[in-house]
Amino acid sequence: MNCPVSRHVLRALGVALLALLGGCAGLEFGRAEIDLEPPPDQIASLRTGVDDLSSCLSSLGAPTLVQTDENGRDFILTWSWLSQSDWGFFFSLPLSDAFNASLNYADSSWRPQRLRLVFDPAWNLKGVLTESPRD
Amino acid sequence: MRFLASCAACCGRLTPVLLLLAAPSCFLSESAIDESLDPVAIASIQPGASAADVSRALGAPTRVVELGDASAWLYEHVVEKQAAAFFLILGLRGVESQADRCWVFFDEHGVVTHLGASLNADQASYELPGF
Repeated sequence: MNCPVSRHVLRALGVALLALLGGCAGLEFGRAEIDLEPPPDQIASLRTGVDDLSSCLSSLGAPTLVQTDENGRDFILTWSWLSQSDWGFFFSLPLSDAFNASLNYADSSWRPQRLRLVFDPAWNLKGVLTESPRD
Repeated sequence: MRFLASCAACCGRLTPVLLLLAAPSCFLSESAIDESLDPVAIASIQPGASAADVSRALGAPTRVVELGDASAWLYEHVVEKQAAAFFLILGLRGVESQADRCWVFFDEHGVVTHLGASLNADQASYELPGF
């Protein structure tokens, strides 16, 4: 014969236990979107020796970064963007005033994707480099 | 029997309170860096304009990059929106950052040669994974 009081108490205790557990254990899911990817068809249509700074800015918009290359002769424009998800979990157990056991795992190797365009001093496109998170 | 009935009534009242304690909590936050860029002001800058013209139209740049004898000025406005929700031991969080960005390129004489702009800051939104 089932006791209704026991069922209510168990439910209440279960909820209370989960609420307390939230402070020392948890599962997290995250998502990050930073800047927008330039249109892939516009990237694919870039032609070294044909395109110049004007056409690249017109088709791709403003870059994230503008810099000279390591020799100081050529110019590098970088478009970077990120669209990734991650997850993780943590568990911690206070053992005493001086010791605390914890485990923390996060699959959060967020790396932005990058498109780098290399221009000569006359702003003619001379190189297209792409970098994805798996590279 | 009366005792059990009393306990059941008590637990029935307690359960919503405990559920409230465990109810989802959440937060939304928005941060912005610098003022949004004015598309009309950007459109007013054409190749051949001087650095003074650019300063009058857009104000002081966020960053100046030396490119040999030439240079480039960056104007940037970044909006970041974050949302998070917590359900007992499950946490969801999302962050989106979008920017208005305008690069003005000058030659060695300080004359505008090129300009590129993207105005995406208003596309930043609050998003949670799974929603």
